[in-house]
Amino acid sequence: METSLPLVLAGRRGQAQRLVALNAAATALGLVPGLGLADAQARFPALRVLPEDPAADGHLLEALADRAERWTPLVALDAPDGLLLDITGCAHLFGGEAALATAIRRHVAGLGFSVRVAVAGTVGCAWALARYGRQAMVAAGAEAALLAPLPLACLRLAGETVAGLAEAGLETVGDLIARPRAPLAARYGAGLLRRLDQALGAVDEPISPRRPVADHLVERRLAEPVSLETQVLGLIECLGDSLGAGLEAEGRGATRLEASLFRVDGVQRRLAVGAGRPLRRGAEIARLFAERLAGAGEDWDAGFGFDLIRLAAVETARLAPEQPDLEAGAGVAAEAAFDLLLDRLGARLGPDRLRRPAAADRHHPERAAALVPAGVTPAGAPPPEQDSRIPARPYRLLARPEPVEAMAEVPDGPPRRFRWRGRLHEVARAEGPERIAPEWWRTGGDGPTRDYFRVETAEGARLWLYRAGLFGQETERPSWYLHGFFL
Amino acid sequence: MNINAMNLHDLLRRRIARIEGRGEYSLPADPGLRTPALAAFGLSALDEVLGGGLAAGTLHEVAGPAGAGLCLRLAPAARPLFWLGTEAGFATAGLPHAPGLEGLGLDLRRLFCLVLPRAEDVLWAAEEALRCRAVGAVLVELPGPGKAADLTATRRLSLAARDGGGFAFLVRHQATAEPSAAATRWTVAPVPGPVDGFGGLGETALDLTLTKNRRGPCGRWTITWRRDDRRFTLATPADPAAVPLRRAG
Repeated sequence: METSLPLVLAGRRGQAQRLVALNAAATALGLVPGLGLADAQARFPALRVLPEDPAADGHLLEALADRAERWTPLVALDAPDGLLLDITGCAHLFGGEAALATAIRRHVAGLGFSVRVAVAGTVGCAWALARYGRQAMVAAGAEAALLAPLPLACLRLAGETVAGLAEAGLETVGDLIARPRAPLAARYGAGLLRRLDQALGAVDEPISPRRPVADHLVERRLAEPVSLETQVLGLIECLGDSLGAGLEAEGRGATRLEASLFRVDGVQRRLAVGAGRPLRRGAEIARLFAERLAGAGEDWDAGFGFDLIRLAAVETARLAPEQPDLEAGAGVAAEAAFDLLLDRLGARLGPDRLRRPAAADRHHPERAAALVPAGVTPAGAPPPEQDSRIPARPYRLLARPEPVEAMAEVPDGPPRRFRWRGRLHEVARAEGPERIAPEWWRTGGDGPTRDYFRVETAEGARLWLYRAGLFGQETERPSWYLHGFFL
Repeated sequence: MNINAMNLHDLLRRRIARIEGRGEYSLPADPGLRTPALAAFGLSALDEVLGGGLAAGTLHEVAGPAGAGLCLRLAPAARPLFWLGTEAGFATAGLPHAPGLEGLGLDLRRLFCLVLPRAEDVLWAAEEALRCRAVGAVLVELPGPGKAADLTATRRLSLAARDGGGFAFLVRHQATAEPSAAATRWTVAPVPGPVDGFGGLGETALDLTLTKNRRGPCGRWTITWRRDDRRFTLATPADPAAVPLRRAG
């Protein structure tokens, strides 16, 4: 976009359209955020105006937060235009706080943003310095001195509070620090002092990271970026082993794992896999990720390669330390192999593809028995006992009953011949009807009453047909459907 | 009527299992429960030709939509059973229906179904399942002649079955003359079954044609499935006109 021409974003604030954001050229004209759009256009008719798009801004901030996770897993959004990074224990990996701040500044500026970075011992102080300060680094205890000359807006206060304080002659943080606290609290509420204390470090303020932080997390930074899938999987295996060692020490195994791959250009790619059985062996973990990659079918876009790989156990479960048993060894191995098979099928084909039959207490055949994803029913739970008076049921059921043209006796005789999938079938023998009434106690009806017949055709095929609707009561022309197969 | 007896048997079997304290099934059974080496029809005429029954660790190929039912009846109990197929195949032949499967004598707790969009995925998943030693049987079902299961694919399935030691069944909805690495190849077609004494549907009858057999001669048999005691019998040719169409129920 042309940067030399004045451009503003406008949005509705209260009853009026106001300027929300301006580029450098527009600022140079003397425009400020908050000015009425009509005023601005009256002064500069050639001004380019675009509507604001808070959703797009949010996505952009999220994308930046993704990139920021390469420096620390604890990243919080500070909408609309800030990111809070908890770099406790991370800075030394990048050569200290100053070097980290420089790296962040260079990276984000390289993306085309104007960025201000501040490192401080408190969220409030860093927030204030990033927006209003000159100095980017604060030593512990020096907060008060640095904040004193800054305007009160740097304390994250509401606009009217700042205006009220200005009327009382309080302009800077220093003015506020010098005042007795009790009258301030009485006049402007406890929120003011809380913000002040947060900035000065008298009150602790944790950041709330946008994604839950895993208890167990390992990562590897690579001097030379890798781009091949096999290399990445090899690294995941190594990381999985060290992750597993940490988990084993606590007697736990990972049931949900997430791998974050950071590309050299900062784009982050996340892969998640679930496991039915707690895992802590790198080879098993790497195999799940291999299936996940193969099943996704996306193109493997490594760009110029990945230079940081992080593996986190997002969910863990209790897993006793392994102690091979001489007697039951084969059984345990078989059980582990079976769980691994289910995990791999789930990782490659999607967790909902693997299905198991589940019974429900319903009358309609298609509702009484359904296939549900394997994870839904706890494996090994016995299905409810079948009613022994229910006649034989087909072992295959069409997902949607197929209409057939049938010739049958009225009012409720079995079909004599019927046309299905373009072929005429003669009925040699039939049993029925088995009448299944709609579940009237449920709204959103199941259609009319069904009379089911077990039918053997002249060729020997055994089919399950039903007539929808009672002749003379529900309909004058009952329709016929084929629903299942006995053979 | 025997239709009720079937479910009554089920009920009693399950009650007895519960009383004996083996009602709760855990996957996959204890190590003592090995997959049997043979799946026998229980008919000397067939089993002798097959060398005792269909062998585990090899691929058996069945043509005809009724093939799935045959394989489910033959698959040994006590180990997980995978039933895989394409969406198109299950759409024409029907999805597994639990109450009916119980009638075949299948323990639903060991049944795992996979319905996948592409035949290639089905074959991949089947190979994976066959390689796992804890899986008892894998039933792959492909619509039409199942072109995806060519000589290479069937050989891969055979090798996977040999590694895992389970039973491998490949069901094609239509017979094909394409070469296959299967140890036995069958064609299954339903035939009119014998009538029961009340004019209703009697036992299910199937016409089996063995077209390839590595261990012995080929042949053709008509067998019936007895629902009450869940076993096959050799059928005497039935005359469908013997009993007129009557209602029963």
